[in-house]
Amino acid sequence: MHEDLTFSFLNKAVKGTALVVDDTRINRLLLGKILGDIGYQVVHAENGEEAVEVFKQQPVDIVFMDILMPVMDGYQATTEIKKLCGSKFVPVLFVTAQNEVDALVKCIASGGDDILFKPVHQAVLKAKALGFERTKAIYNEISRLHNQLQEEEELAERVFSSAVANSYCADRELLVSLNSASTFSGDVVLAEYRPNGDIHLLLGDFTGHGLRAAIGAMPVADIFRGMTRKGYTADAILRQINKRLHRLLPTGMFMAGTFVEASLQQKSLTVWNGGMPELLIYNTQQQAMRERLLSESLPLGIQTTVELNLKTIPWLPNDHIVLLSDGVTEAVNVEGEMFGEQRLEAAFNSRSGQPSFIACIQQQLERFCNGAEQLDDISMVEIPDLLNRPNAEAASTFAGSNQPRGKWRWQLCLDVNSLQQFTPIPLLMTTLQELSVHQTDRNILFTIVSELFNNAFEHGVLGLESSIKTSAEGFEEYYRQRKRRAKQLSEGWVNITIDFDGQASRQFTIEVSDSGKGFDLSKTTTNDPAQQYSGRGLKLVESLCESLDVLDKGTKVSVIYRCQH
Amino acid sequence: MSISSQLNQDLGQLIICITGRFDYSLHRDFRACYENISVEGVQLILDLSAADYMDSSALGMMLLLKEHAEKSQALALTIRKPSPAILKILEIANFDKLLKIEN
Repeated sequence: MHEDLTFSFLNKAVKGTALVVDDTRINRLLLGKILGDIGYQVVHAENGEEAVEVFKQQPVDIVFMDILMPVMDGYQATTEIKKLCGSKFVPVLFVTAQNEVDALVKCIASGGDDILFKPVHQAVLKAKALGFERTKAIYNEISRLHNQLQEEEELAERVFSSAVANSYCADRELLVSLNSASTFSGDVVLAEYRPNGDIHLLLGDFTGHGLRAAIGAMPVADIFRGMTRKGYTADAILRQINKRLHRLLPTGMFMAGTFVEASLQQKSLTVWNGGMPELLIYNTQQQAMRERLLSESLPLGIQTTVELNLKTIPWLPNDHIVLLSDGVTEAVNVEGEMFGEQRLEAAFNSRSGQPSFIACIQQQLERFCNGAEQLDDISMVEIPDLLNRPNAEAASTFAGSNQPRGKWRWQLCLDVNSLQQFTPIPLLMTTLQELSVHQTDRNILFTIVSELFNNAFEHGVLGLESSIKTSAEGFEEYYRQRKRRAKQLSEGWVNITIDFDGQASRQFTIEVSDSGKGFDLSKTTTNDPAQQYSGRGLKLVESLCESLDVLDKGTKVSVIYRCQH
Repeated sequence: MSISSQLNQDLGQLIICITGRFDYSLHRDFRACYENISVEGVQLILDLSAADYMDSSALGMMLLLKEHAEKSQALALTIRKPSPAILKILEIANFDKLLKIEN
């Protein structure tokens, strides 16, 4: 029973091409016969050099190699063949009558995988061949997984970078240096303007590095951007990030970080430090480190609520605010020595000729590490002397000053074919961005124009009744009808006109008209709950605008929206 | 860098001792020290007197140990004798507010 089980393994067929290398014809024939019997296709070579040639010319799956041969011996041939294999696994088995320790060690040292002793026993040879097929399968699987992992990591990296990549705020105002230890950085730098022009800056450092550390960065980026643009303060944003990370990350993973809220108007800095090295403020007039802000809070994501201990200090002209991850002082050189705080401190005092403090630290760091392998992510951010910038005043009223001052009109007339093919809203949003309309205003305008356009198209041109949408099934039915009618549409148009007056009134006048039959305004303002649900769009627009007028029997809506920025 | 643990039933103590660098490479061994041991009513001690460096994943591992201690109703978790360098890392992360540290 036991024997049956053992030998049934040998019933499995081997396949592929075996290369037999031996200078004695009879040996080649003998081995070739056995190999042929167990299922191999056999090719021969008379010496090492010939073997290498054969190997170059045709695919070979396994090599049986003699040791002593004229022209080129088995060791050298094995080394050459292994070089040619690249990432492919082709086992080389030495076949020898020698049983000397030196020779055997040399077989493996030259790159060989195993040794067979003469006389070769068929069952042993087959068992070895099958064993190597197993190894080969594992090898191929590993190399496939490795490639797949690399591909996925690259893809994830692209998604990650576009989600977390620096905004134009960081490009314009800040100096950033990121060096990651692997494809992914466990460090994240985020910067964004609040609607009033304050700069929010976050340098976060997740536990560990690589992909596992980067996962948390995406929700952090979303919360940070979204809330900053809406005008939230550091306190609210950090609490929200903490809450989200606590829910999302497993125990043992968290984000240390430094957050700066820099207000050009108030000339103040509000700083949070949770588990990061000191935030340093170097003042070039005092020629000294003016302030060191120590970590006074737990990192985020550890507990449900966190005591932030935010600090607000005045922001002085000539201040250079430097945020560093612990990868800087902990960078190790070839001797295993750390960069340390003293060298960091010294770097601040030797800035001459360097465009920024972080460039200077970077240079000192490179000189120190001198090519030693980087073990952790190294991130540095500097807020330069923005208060002394010639256009500091302009920047402090950033939101307003960047607004277009002139007048413009944007008009789009869509005929039936265009309506079937084209949604005008994204085009409009791009245009508004090009015209420097502030993000907050853009977001509101997006809602207003989308609602008005959808009303004009769906109710006006397509003649859909919004009252269908009063139930969930009706909602679906509505969108089915919308699709069908849009497809069958043979006539109709929608015109959108936007006028901006950037001088006196700073307001947008938006008119949307359509080819429909119009509607009875009194119906949309009814208190009938069934109607309220469907009439929601216009109500929403009304609440966002200064004024809303329905004209031309309901075929035209005109609204006025005043800039908030 | 190595890790060893000793469960003393009489004293009711599980002592985990780290030597050298305390970082991610110890992850598995560290968990193995406590995962399959009943620590109910046991005093957990993480002895760092022989550890000379610690990174943020070590902080994470401490949180895992803390969570395990709480879940399995261990008596207490104490971090024993961290070197000045490690104590500084613990303080920067404000872990001194979270864990009992004993010199």
